[in-house]
Amino acid sequence: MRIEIKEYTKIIRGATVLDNVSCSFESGKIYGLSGVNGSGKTMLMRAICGLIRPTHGTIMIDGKEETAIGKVGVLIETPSFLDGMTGYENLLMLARIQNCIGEDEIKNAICRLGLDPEDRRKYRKYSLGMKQRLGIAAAIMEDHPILLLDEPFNALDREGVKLVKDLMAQLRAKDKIVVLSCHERNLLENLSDEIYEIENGRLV
Amino acid sequence: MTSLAKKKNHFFLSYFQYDLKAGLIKRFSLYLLPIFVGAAACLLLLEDIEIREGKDCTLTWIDLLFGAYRGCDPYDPLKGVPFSPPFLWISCVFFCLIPVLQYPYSDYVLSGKNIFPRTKSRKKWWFSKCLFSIFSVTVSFLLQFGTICAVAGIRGKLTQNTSSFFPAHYGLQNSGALGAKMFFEIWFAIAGLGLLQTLLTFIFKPPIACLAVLTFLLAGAFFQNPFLLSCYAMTGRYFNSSLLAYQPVTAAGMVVLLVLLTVLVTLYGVIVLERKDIL
Repeated sequence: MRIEIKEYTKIIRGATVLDNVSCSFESGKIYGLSGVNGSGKTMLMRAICGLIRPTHGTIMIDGKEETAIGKVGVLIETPSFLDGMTGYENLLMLARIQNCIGEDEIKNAICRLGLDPEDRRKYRKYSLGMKQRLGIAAAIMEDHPILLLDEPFNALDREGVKLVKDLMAQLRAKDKIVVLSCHERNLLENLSDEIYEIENGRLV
Repeated sequence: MTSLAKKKNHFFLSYFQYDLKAGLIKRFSLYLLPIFVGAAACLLLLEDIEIREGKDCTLTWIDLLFGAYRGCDPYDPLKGVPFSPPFLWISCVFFCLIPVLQYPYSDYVLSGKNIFPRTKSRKKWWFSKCLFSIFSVTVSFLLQFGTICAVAGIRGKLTQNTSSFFPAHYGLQNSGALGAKMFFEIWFAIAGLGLLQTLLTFIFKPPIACLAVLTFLLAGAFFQNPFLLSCYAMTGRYFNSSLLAYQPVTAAGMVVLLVLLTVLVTLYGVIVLERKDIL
């Protein structure tokens, strides 16, 4: 699979948040997005997964003009789930939208992130790190070919960081496209096959 | 593979199941509001009727429906009487709409990032929210009217006799068909208001939508206008009476309004939401 972004520009209320961005992503690689806050990393992820529409430019997937909707696992900014439900119940509800996986796959995704699928605590009782892990579990559970992870290491302890790093290596081995953003340059350089530097909405 | 994996993809049904769980079951405490208001409305109604008709007066379910959702006559400057808003009716209708005020929009804001990358069509999500709005308002209305009947029954004021008090007051032939007609008209009007409220929450945000609907209810109470959906939620506006100086609203008028509303809601889902940025 190949994602190709061509001359993508997005203007929101007069502000250019993505400016003539052209880049590509291929299966079996981890791509890092680097840049300061507000540089456009998250916006580029939103563009890939179809949450925003281009003012100008295109996104092609395997040569076809489309976004990654339906083929992408996403963690953008902070995870958002329903407070009054357990982690497992939240993921089960999300999984039912596409209905392509079963309960076993959901439980497996939760376990892979070091959480307990049988945990009866409601989401609102989760610590920040647990919420982050659940967000990543939601992104990987459907085994989509594309993974967009925005600051996946936020709020994770050392063990959690190691877990997610190992997970990314596994995803690369499974021929996924993994795009991640991270503030820690060292971490990004260690993990990524390629790094795109973004500044004021432009690739530099 | 579990049974879930073998199921055929029914996106719309999946969304609606999600809405039922997240919007109704997990927020059931909100549905206590129409119940409380129904109980209070029934007690006020019974007190009012006891004063006017005596302690022994009993009411049929048609009387209760008519009384609680009667509303008021529109303002008539010729009468020289100041306009008095029908607080009972406004409370009953308003609190049927409150449980569904926040949910569709908060789901869009909170879960949009999780949901929209999973579906190629936002339309299905939107239509599920619209259907859920109608369903939620229906549940609220049934709970409220059920409470009104239950409280009247507990107070020993509910009778199964056919002689209804209010229809006779309006010179109408009392019948179950009359009650059913009123029931469906109020239900459809309130469901339409719920749908309108949901549309407004996406255009203006929930607090503004709430104020707009309240204004809409007050406007319906003040004016008699076939283009005001709120007029159709008042049983007092349905019938011709020599005592009244205005034209009653008709079921056909409401159908036209509901069709227009459906077109508006569909256009919003197909044109606006489908192209809206999720930030």
